Amino acid sequence: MAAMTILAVDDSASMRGMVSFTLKGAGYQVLEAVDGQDGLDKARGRRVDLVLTDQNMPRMDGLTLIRSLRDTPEYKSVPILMLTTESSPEMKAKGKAAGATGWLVKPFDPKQLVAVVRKVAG
Amino acid sequence: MDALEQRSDLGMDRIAHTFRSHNQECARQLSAAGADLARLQMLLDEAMQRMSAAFGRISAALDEGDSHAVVVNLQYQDICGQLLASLRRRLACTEALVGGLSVPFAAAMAVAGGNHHADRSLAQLVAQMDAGLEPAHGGVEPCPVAQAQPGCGAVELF
Repeated sequence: MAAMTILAVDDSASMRGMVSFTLKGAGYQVLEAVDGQDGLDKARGRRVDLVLTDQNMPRMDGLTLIRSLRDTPEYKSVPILMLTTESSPEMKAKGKAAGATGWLVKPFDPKQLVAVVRKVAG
Repeated sequence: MDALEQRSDLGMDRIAHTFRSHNQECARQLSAAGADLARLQMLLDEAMQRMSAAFGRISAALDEGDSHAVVVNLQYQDICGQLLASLRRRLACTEALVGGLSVPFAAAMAVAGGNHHADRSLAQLVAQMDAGLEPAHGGVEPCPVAQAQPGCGAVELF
């Protein structure tokens, strides 16, 4: 069975690297994108099983990426997790309204990240 | 006094009123910007200390072969680095604002010459800036960097 593909969207190269390191260690394939627009382009170009996105990024932020993906038929039910330093209830409510599956606050615990990904991706 | 002189006096009053209003607004903005600069400088110092501490923890975690601690502290260092970059950009903007405000303010002072009202405004400005700087240096204002802990963040599934 082919490994699931996770799209990690973050404008910080080191953060993408740490997400990638953690998830590849758990057996997932990881595709990286440098901002929301890049994430949208990459998600539309191939099948992605789960999206993990930052909020504050140049060109396109995480909430806009989620809304754009949810407008795409292939991504209506694909799990999308926010991974951000933002933790206010207002932002979480916006994320939920945009269609996010869950919200993780940075810095993430590697074991917890893998556990959450396993839970939502099945 | 003829009608022309009366109109001229009214015009001068309006100019003086406008000048005083502008003068007070400049003083208020400069005071706020001065306090903001002091607070930003304090946050910058704090963020740099936090980054340095994170580097120390990363180094220790590498020595111990603790990949979990390395990943967590690298993230923390990365977050502090982004905050530092953001603070530096804001500091530059505030400095530019202070510079921009100082020029018209200084010009207004020069035009005012021996105007006592203008002199008082300058004294008030200095007093306000001093008052604004003290609490910021004393760490009275909440510091988001200081509040951040090297622990891991929360998870919430919708």
